[in-house]
Amino acid sequence: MSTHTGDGSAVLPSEPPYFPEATLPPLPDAIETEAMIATGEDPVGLEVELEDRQIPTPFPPPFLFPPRPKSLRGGCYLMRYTPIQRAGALQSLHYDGTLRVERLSPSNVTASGDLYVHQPLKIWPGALPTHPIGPFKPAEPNPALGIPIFARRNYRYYMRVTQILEGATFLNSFTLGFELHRFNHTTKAWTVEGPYTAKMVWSAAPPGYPSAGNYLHGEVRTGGGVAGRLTIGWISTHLRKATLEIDRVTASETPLDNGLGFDWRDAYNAIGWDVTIDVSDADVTEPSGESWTDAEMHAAMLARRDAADLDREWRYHLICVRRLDSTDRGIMYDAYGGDSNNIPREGAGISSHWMIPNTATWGKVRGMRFGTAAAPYFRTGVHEIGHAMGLYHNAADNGFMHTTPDIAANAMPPVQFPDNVLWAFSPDDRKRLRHLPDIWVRPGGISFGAAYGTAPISPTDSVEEAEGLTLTVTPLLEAVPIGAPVRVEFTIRNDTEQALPIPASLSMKAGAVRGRVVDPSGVVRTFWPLVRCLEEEEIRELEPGASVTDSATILRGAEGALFPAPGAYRVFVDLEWSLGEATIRLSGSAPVMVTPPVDGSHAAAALRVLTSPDALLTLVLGGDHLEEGIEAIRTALDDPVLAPHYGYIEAKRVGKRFGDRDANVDAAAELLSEDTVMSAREARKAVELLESDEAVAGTDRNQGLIGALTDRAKGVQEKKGSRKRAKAR
Amino acid sequence: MQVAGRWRKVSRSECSAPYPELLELESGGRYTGWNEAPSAFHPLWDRGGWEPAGSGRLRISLANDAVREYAVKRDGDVLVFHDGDGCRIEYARA
Repeated sequence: MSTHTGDGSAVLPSEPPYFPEATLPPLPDAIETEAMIATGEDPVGLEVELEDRQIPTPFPPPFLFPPRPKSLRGGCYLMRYTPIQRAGALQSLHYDGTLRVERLSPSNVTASGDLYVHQPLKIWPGALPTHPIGPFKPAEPNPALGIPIFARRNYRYYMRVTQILEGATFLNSFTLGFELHRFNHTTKAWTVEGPYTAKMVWSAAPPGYPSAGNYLHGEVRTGGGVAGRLTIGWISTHLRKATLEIDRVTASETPLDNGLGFDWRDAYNAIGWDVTIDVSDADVTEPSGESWTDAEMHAAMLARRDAADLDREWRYHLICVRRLDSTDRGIMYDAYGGDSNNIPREGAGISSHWMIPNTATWGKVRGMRFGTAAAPYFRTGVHEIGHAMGLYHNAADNGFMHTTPDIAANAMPPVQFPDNVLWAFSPDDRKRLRHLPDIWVRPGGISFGAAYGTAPISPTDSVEEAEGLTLTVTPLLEAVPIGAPVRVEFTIRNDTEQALPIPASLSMKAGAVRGRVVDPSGVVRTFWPLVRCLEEEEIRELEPGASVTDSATILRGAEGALFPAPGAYRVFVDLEWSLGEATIRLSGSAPVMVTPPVDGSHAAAALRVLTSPDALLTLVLGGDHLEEGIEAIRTALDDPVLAPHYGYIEAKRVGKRFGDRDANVDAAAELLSEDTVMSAREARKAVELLESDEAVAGTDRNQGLIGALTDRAKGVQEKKGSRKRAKAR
Repeated sequence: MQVAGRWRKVSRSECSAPYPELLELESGGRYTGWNEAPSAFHPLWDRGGWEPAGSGRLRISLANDAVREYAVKRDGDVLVFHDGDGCRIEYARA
């Protein structure tokens, strides 16, 4: 809550009334700090409790009360964010949610959160309802009841935590850095707000919190000043909470474990989820014989499910039937055309009577009925519910989200399937289940089928900032006409007195460079390298004081056109590379202005380029097969405003052989001039292209052009750098 | 009909957008599909199995483990799938 000053601005009281007692049931007494050390299960190594450890006191003691380091306890925090109230607003508004803090070591933390709007009173001054609509004032979540579940319709923000207390501090505070990604329920798109910082201060928890010493509050600040107030209070060792209901037909087995004692709770404890297993009906009726359609399973789920309010409980449903119409072993039917009630990812089904092929590939379970092969049957259940939690297939290892036939085929004698099954989610899936937005993983949230890259996620726990290196981003042109690609140059400089490792290649075709573009309204669009899964990354050393410059030409990203409208943008370039077990990160940014169309021709050409998904591929890959992209670029070349920005792109295509078509360097040269907009990298490539044909390169016109472009290409170079290379990992 | 190999999507229609840019059909009946450039969609064919389903038809598993049947026609280095909803997905040999 805030109070108003005489000038209409708002100030925050020092201690807001967190939970009006009249709205809550009686709460338990606070537990003493020393008793807070968790004695229960520790699902993901969350119990790194430096502040609760007994630290030996030296004798004689240097202080009456020796300082004790504080750290952020791993687990789930109840979170409240109260933005500063706008002058003249009728009602106060705040957001409730959870913050997930994952500790993998004393100095290694990943955190993320979600916020749901909590509107105490109806704001819009319309007519009063004619009938009661429930509690006049919705209750606040009760911290004594563990991880709260919020209504999906109130989902507003994903909190992407970018800075947090990684280790321990002797201070009573630390700085939390984060972005808020606002979710649009209609478009399913995210808009970033921030960045924000909050100096979080430890203070005594209000009644009801299970850990009196793990409660913090702070003033949230952004570039423009104070934005609001944030409180977080620890409530659980787990990160998320859900229920899995398992129903079956009489003839099918219930997949309870892998036959060796590894069960559902083991699978989910490992990812920090507190999952209650509800083994329910064992007499589901077969509607049309032994084999089930997707629609029949969906209908059975709706009819037999023990509870159905997904706004009070994250309940996933697994039905075990004899056979499936649409596949052999299992299916997450609540996707694509199988979701008859438009509530995605509620349920999955597995087949107990599929006969495992009697071939050597299937190892120890060959020829068995699936329901009697406990290990693969249970694994398929976890796999399908993994899909219901928003995960896709993952061939990184033999974990839960890999496909069963591939794991069976991967077995290397003498190990036989299913002994080669990895009873875990792969590391990247573990992170997704812990830190993707609620609305992505919870049943009834985002539909199955969206690319992972469309959702925000906190940076990985093991990322280290590349201290000593700086990344400077410079646009080739500070203002570009709408429809033109934006070319940025970026320079890494080593400011230290020792050589530092950097990626060997900074090309967009390699794996280290990615980035974001923030548009004038704060919408974030991402761009990635075209090759992302390099098994072995090359690194090199950058000598003290040396710098290296490269460039990127960007037009489209995962969310479409990166610069779709006129206005002021900011381009962030993010470099990430592996060094041993750690991921190293370096970021820089620069503003770019996109100017409006100057005439109808320019507007039409820009529209064509911006709405052609192939334009990016044509730009990066070239080739004649991307006909729509080529047509879009030709349209741009016909427009005098955009032509200089696309000359090199078309020259690159026609100057290279493709299929039966010969390279036409002469035509490429005609497309180039000293006015052609090119990054340093593109200029170097253009010189190489022109010089590939002696006859073309030898003309007076092209000699002059090559000279001019060679000067421009000097941007891609290293100053006083080493070319020494080493292999990472 | 021999369809094993690596294929690159040519279709740019809206209905074909969820299908992967690149498709590797392995001769043993497994496949991998992936996108080179960022996309709003996770590939509908990401990793799974495929098998002939009679003349001119293939069964292919989807990202949610459903198996869908497609009419398929190969003309030289062009492979065209038709789903049951009227969507045409054309690939060229990569």
